[in-house]
Amino acid sequence: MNSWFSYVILCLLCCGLASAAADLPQDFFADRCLDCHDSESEKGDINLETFATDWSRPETERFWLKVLKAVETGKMPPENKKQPSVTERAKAVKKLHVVLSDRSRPGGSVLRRLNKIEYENSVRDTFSINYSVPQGFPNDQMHQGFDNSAEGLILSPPLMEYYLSCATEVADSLVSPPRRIAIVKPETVNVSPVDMAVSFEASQLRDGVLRLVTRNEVFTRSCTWPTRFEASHAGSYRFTVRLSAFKPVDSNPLQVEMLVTKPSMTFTSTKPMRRAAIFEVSPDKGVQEFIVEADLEPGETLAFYWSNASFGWDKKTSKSAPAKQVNAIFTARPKLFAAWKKIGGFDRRRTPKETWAAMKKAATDGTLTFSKSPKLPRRYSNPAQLTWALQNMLMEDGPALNIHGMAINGPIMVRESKDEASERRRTERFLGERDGRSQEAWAGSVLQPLLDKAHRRPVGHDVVNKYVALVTEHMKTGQSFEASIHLAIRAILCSNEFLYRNRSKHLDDYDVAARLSYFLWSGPPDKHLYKLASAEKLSSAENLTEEVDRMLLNKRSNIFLNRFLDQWLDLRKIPETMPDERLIPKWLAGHESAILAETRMFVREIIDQNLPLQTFIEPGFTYLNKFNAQIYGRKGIKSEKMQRVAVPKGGRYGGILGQASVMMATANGVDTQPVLRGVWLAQNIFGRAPPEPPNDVPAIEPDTRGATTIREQIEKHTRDVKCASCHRDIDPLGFALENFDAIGQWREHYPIFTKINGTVEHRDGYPVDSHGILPDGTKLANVVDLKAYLTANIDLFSRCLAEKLLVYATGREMSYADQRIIDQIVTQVKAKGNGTRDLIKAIVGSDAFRVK
Amino acid sequence: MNRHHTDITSRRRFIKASGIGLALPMLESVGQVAPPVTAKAKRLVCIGVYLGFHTPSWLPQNAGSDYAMPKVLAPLSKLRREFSLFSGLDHRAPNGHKHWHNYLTGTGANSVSIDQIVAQKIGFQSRFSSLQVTCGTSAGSRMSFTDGGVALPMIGRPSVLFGKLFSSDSDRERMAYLLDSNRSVLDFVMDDGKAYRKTVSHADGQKLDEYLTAVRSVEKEVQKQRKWLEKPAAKVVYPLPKFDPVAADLSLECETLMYDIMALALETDSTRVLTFLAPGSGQVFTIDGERLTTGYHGLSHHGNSPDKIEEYNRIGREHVKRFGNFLNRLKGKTDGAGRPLLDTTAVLFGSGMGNANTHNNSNLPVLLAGGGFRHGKHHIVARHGAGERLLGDLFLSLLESFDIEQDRFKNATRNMNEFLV
Repeated sequence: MNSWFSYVILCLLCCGLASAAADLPQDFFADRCLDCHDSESEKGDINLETFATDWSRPETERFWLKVLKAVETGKMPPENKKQPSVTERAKAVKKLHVVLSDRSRPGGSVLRRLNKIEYENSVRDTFSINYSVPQGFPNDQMHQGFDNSAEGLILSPPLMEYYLSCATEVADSLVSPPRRIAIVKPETVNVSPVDMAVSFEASQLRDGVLRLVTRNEVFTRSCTWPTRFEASHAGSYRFTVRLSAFKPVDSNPLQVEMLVTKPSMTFTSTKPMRRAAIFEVSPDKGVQEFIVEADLEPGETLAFYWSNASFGWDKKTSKSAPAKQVNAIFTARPKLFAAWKKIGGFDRRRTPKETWAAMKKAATDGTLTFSKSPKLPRRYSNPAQLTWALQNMLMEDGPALNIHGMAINGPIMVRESKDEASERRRTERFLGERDGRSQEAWAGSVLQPLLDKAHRRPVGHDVVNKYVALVTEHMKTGQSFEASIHLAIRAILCSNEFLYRNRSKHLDDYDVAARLSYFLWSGPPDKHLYKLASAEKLSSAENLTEEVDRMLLNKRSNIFLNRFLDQWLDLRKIPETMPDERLIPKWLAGHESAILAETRMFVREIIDQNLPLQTFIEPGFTYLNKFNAQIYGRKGIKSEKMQRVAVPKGGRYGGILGQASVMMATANGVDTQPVLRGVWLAQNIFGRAPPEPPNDVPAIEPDTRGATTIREQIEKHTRDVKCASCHRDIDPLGFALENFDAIGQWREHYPIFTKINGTVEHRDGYPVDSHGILPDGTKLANVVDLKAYLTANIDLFSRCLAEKLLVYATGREMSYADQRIIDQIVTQVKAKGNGTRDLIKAIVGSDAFRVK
Repeated sequence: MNRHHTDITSRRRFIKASGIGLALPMLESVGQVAPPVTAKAKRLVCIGVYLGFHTPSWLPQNAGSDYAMPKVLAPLSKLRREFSLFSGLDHRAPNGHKHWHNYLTGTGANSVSIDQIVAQKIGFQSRFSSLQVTCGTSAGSRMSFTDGGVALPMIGRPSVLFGKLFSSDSDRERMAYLLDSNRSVLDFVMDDGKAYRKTVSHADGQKLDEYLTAVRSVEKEVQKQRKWLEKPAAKVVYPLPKFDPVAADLSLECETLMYDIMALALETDSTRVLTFLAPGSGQVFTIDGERLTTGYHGLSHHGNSPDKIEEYNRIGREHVKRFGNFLNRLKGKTDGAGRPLLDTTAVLFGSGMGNANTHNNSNLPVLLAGGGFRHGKHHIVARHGAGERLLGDLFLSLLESFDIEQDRFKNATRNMNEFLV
């Protein structure tokens, strides 16, 4: 019985297989393909004799798509083999289409890991914190031209390590790590005058003491402080200081203020600084001791400030104050004034010390003639310099404040620092009050809202309970509630629910909401989207497309614009390209930002105004400021502000096939490479990516010596028939852009640069030949013809852009069925006027977007 | 696909002399016995220069020890006794940039690279099982692969590499707590992931396996870091510049820094397996104050123009110069037993691309230094017939010097012991 049964099954299976095989154009294969593509030779890894028919594997569909493309485009059989007749080929192609139509389904996305920027935004939104991943966080691999492809985003162990350490950083910022109140024994540090800061002319070490002479308002021009001490912990410190007055001129006590500061020098004003103490030094009691108890934060210390020194002035008083101070001294010591004149007054080459030394020398010179009441100027050319020079005099002759040393004892009472206090408050805010609840209930109330956001859908009790159990288990090992919540947060951030999207077997409303928000905002859904998802309103195409309008209007969509353009048009290569100085006299950051802004603002307008897709090619406008106007040779624009300007249609500039950003991204900063540009155009504008060179093509060693122009060089390469079949499609496109140099400037000739006596001379070399013939026979003279061709065949571009958008949005390769949906989208949108925003909406409303 | 080898039945060579081994002579060379490679290498460094070298300027004309030092290798003149050159080696792998990464993995489907095989065996001996280093932050750098062919990301910033190796952490107690509690985190997400795995489709399951493998691997790493926390961290003084030269134009500057830090890593025994990729794209270098005329990639496609070859070689020499400084450093530093580090460090220097001009990946540039092998010669290796050897055969000898016995390395089933001892 059993064996008969299995025999029947076997027969049925074989029939099934046979019928699948019968649908394929076997005769065509036998006649035209098996010579090279049988099981023996398997040329190019294509075996058309025995092949897989398991359509549940995506590789199977990809294989047949490859075969279809090769036969349909005429690449196979290769030119040097006998070609099938037109009808024979058409029949085979039709059969392949039917098989694929029958078997292919839209969709095929797999689990899709958050990429770097999505991860960052998801962390920010989920935890409401301002978070950035650390430097060194791995970049994502590109796949199919984008960094958000499900297949390309793998999770390697080193990346998992980063996720773990980022999780710790995030948890630290929400639940501060436990801090024990440090048990620190107070220490005494003895500070001698040698270990005190000498800053500009504020102070000097003289006669074994540190001497202050002025009350200048600028901290570093009047104060001193210990250089090798800073508070290790927040707490109180006892300063015992010894001071005396040096040659006071009257009986007024010297008022000293102790300012709270950090040891690093700063030009701040002394006015707003906190005073730890103010006391008075008697002018006639010799060395006096004072005790100051100061409350300091970690890293702080105390500085000395002589606040009632006669020499000095307030910044805000009249500008003549320094001159007045100087004149007061010159009135009392007229010899000095004469000495000042003798040495020639202000000389910028002299330091204040040197100036004072010269003045002193001149003053003590017996031959000096001076007047006892000289006529003093009201103004000096550099009064500050002069005051600093005279401060040197005060250091020698007084009046001054002497600092003999101090002892610092502490920390006497350690307390929480300001930073620690704010962290603690933040943690308290995050955790909320226990309010008489059980630990489990408290933990649940903290974790539930986080889990809802992290999983991007409302989570069930079972999920919350799992995490609560994690918390209680950890507490059982003796850890605090806070530490256990910290652990739960780490677990949330490393879970597969957080790190991956597309987790359901069939996308539900929450999955679609996430797909939409990551598409247009590179981040998780917002409240509004969640509301629609919970009301199950996102299964309707209308609601979805309405959301597209709302989300595109929102500023957050700029991230979509920038990222999509950076990757579709390769603009991300621009910051890595350094243009040759010979192409443009001075390449500034302004140039780079202008050309990027031009393309972004251009596309922004096309999307915002729902302009037709043709606008990408022939817009009639662009955005210029003085920088990119210079590249285009456009005169009359002097502002740095980007402005919208008209560009004649049918001309060389305008549109993505005339913008400097594209020209720069497709060159290397020095010279252009037509083949590179041709491939770029084929892939990104025409939607016809050239196939990879087959693995077993033997190495060709082309001899390009003797070729003069780049066209001749390339023609020598492509003489071989194996190369010509692809280059026939690539080269004409690239050559059409040859008039644009490596930064987008128009040229009629290739430049020749020669260095003559250190300067670089430029003269015209060979003329640029930008003509080409497209595979369908269309002749192109230059880029203007190329743009006209594209405009007349705009569906090529629409289709290409639609596919790119879908690949970016869904993170997968387009299946055959997806491709047919794209065809339909292009037709529908064209019927409605070919609006670009309509295209995006049609994509989001299609099956291809809403299916896994 | 690759039909260059017929099945070789006898491929065993001497097993370590410390045990009793059977000496099986190779079929092709009866009477000649391949001498053993006893386990003496303790460290492995694999270096790949992405855009390769100009073969006629890299390879000497003659085989043997008296060859004239070729142009690009001039900076290594004084070190000629310390390395061996090989012509004719490759993996018989496909051509093109896409297949560059076969350099350390051999041809065929993505699988583990030789440095990771060694790391799996000796990685536990040092704080980091292995480190992957490059210059700059290009995500396309792929050179080192774990089992299953997962590419390991490479550290492109000197400050990050340095910080990873030498940052002293005063709060060790906190670190210990985090490592211990991270194990609970990983256990939790592992269980969660396994439960989910049971419900998914085949394709999703493969992605999830990636995740689970990563979690498992980090778990092991956390355990290892926990043990290393008990030991005092290495202290090092090095004048690291304030900024990281990650721009492509500065990649040679970055390369200098990276070699320094890698040498420090070996000297402090922070790791024993290093992989370094010297990248190349369109950047236009400035060498000795002079700006070159063309981008690096453009130069590698020189089309036999002598001017372009000259500039391409200048860049090649810059790479070799930095490599030479690295070797000198390893030569000058001694290990615990008083031997130069270089004697117990096998250093592989070459590229996954043989001829960048034609994108050809055969006849790869291969230089082997240190490791206690016999050096000083240029070996011209046969590509057919009895004496034929593949790069994988060299790898088998290398593995043997780490006491790792393998029958094959992809399509290679012999070894090159007779060239090395």
